[in-house]
Amino acid sequence: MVTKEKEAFFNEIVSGLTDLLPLPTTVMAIIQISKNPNSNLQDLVKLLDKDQSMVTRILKLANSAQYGFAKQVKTINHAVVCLGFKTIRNMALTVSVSPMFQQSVDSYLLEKEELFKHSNAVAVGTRLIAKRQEYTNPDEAYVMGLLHDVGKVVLDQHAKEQFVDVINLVKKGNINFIEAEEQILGFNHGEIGSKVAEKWNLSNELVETIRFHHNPEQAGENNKSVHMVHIANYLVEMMGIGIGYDGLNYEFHEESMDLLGLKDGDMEPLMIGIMNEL
Amino acid sequence: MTIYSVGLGEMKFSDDINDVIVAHGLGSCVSVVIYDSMGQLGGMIHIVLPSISANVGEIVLERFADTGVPLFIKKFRELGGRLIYSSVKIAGGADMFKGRNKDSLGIGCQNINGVQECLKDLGVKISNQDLGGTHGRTVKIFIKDGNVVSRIIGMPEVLL
Repeated sequence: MVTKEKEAFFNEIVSGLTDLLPLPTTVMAIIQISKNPNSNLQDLVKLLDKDQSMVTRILKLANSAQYGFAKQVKTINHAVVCLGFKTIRNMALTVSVSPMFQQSVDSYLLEKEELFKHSNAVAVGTRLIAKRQEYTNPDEAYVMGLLHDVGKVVLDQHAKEQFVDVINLVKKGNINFIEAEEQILGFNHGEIGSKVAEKWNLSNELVETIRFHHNPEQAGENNKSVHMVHIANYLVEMMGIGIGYDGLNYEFHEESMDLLGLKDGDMEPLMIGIMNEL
Repeated sequence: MTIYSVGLGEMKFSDDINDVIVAHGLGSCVSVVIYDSMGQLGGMIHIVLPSISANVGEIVLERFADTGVPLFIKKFRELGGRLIYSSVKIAGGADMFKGRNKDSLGIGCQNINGVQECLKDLGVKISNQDLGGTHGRTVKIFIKDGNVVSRIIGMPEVLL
């Protein structure tokens, strides 16, 4: 049972999230106009014209191997017309969020850049599964994978002292990391991470995917993304990419495979696919 | 001292006593380490999966126990390593706290079995090992003396 003290601790962290992980004003505005059915592409171009640093980073990403366009994307106007609202929004999120994951995350014993390596590998894996599922927007799936562990960054800032107890509880054995977080803190890193996505005004599907990436059976039945992220996370943990003390101390929910129509024999080729893209 | 990192599906060798070869964060992967004490030649391979039968796309033999281990031993011998003076140690092979297919083996366990069987087929004896569990490991070999250490993340190093 969550005590009032733990609930108050959770609320205290949530109230400070905007200051802790601020998203650039331009990205918040992009999210806003991409949700507005009356916005048009020129609104997006005008907005980006005011933030040349963001334009430079988006163009760099648009011209990277990840997107693989035959011709170089030279202007933001060209990028917006070619890629559209959603992809530009995902690119803006990717370039803004990635630096947040490059710091060390001491509570989980993750060295510098390890959380980024992990998040990027999960993002690549989620996109691979999404393409296989003929998901409408695989880049959206990439962002979901990239953001799934944002709660670890929050807990590292706000719950370092309590994390000693989390780790000691795991050391005693016979408990997975999510249960240990919940027992000591009253909530897990997925739950607090979902609050970041809410503050950033991201989609309900993304909020729910972050929240339940370790408990996908608790998500709404129409949310397939949460199962994609759950499986990609499992594969990347097995490969040991950017794992901390929590390591492989999680549960895998096989129902996610059934829901996506994946078989045992699909898992190892997916791991190879992730390695090939990294 | 130069530290060489061995990534997923890679292998590295050295006979420079100033070198250290390391595999960071082994999850279900298994690292095989070999050292010829006479020639002071050491090597490490980072095996990711048990069998090449799972492969898609580009073939990287070093990723798989059934193709990587024979290649690793072959390369070691080509570089002058002599098995009679060598010790082989393995580490890794963790699995999820609760993984898929409760009735069958996890990938970590399959990797351990795959590596052990391959080494046995090649007539190579394993002198020490640090395997299993649910935590990631970092494994190092110091070329100057062949010492191999394994460290579970957050725990002290163990000499193998």
